[in-house]
Amino acid sequence: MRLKISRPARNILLSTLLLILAFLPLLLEFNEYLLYVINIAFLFASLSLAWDILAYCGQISFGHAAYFGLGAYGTAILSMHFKINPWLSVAAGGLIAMLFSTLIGFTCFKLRGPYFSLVTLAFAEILKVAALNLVSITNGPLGLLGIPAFPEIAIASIKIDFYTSRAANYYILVLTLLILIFTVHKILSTKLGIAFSAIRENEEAAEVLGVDTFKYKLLALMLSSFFTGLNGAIYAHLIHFLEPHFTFGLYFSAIPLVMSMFGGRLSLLGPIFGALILFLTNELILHPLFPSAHEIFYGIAILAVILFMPNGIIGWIKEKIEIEVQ
Amino acid sequence: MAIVLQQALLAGLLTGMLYALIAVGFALIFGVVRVFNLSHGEFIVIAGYISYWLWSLKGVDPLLSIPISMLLLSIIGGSIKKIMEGVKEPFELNTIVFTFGLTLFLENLMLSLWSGDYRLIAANYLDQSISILGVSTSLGRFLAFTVSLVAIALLHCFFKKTYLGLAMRATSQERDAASLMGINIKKIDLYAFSIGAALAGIAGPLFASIHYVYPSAGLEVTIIALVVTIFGGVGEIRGIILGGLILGISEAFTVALLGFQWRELAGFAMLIILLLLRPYGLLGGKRY
Repeated sequence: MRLKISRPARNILLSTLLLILAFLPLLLEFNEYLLYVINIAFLFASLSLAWDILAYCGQISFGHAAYFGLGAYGTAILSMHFKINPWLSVAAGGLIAMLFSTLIGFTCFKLRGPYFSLVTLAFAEILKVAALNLVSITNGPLGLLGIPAFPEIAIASIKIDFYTSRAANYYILVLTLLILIFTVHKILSTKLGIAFSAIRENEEAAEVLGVDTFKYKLLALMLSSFFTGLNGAIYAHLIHFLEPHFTFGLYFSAIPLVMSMFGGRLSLLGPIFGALILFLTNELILHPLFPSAHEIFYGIAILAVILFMPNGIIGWIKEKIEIEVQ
Repeated sequence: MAIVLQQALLAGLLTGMLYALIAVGFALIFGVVRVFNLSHGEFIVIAGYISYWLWSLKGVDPLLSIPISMLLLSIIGGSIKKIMEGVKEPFELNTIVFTFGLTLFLENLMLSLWSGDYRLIAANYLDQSISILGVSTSLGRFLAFTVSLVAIALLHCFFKKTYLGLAMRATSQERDAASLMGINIKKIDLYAFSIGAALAGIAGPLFASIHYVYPSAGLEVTIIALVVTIFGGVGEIRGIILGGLILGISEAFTVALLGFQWRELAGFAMLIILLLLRPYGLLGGKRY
């Protein structure tokens, strides 16, 4: 089935979407709960898209919580112990995660496919155990409490307080997501995207054809880990509390993976779509109905996707409908 | 050698055999079916819960619950394999994500059914202290060692002496050739998965008798299976036994020297060292 959209129509569609995003807090009447849900949904959308950068290159990481946790704890420690401005320490958090990922890249990229995935799992566990035991730095299992929010911004006479206002944090999350979308779009539309695809489809063949697989895999990993760490850092300033079991645990490794594969890991929209659909359904519909069992939903989602729609929902839609922009 | 280190060595040896048993099920499934069963740890924890509830509600001795958990786990394993038959290409990638999803599913299922409380089978006789060569350890640990050893020995006989065992070894060596020789690969896959799960069913009650059982223990156990299998290689039971013992002893020494909270570090250190020494195709290399 073919669908033709004219260029002006597409631009109008995108502009409307951006307008809605810009005024969403207003549209939701500044409802604290809904804004919280939207914030976390967008956080997961960013995490899923960031994870997908690496997956697009063919490397499935089961341990992205490592980067998330490094970003989160990094910014928390920098802003709490060293009194560094959170606006700077979030970037530092992302960089710390990126540095750690280069370590993993250099030691583990000689492993292919499933073997690489398994060691990413182990590395996340290593960081969790380290965070639990290095109590002097991370406060161990008691967790790190009282992480500051982003400092106030004053524009003219308007003060934007990030500690109390969910709407303010909303804009941070939306902006981060948009920056990430822009980055991924740039990747997909250049030689980089083609190189990633080639490596994903057949790494040996790509190597033979002259693609420097190590360089591109490392690049994918660094981008992926930076954005995951950055979002982890934002999370820390959003929630003000970190705890090793949760921050470095299976949750933040698995959920972005599930969301990304559910939505479709071969497209830009896929992870975002998967994240929003899964998280909003889970929070707004399933959580009230099944208070203790709702996380099983994510497990079922990934099992169903692998069995019936390996390319995710967007992938399936793309197979059925071809969209042409003229 | 200080008493503490002697006890650590013994405890490590005894626990190590259980680790070998844990790894053997995982290695069997990977060797024959070519699936990295990331939920293997969850299988063992489920078996642990089965044995815990049988003990706590019906007073069934954990060792006696082994046949029951073996049966239940083999049914669970077989059903999961049947479901997995719908997985499409690329097989290796999709199955590993599938078992990862299974881990997520099973862990949260256990959490919602049985809560996150730490459970322990506190049957009194398990804590009894016995003395081997003058070093004391707990009876529970010794029983775990013995049962694991017997199970692995029986498995070895199964592989060497029975037709099914022979068929499985053939399938793990050369799938296509085995199929040409008239071996029903699909059935062999199913049996291998079920037997691997049954082995987890044996390891579970033993695990529960010397270790706390809680939903998130699965990941820990899967990593144990992973490290030991990587060390030993898929086809070599002797290698796996050696790997299990080494891991057990390293963990015991780590606990004795650094403290309980650093226990998992031993396994990770082993993993990293193996990574650096065996970079190309971890579980390949030496075949029969």
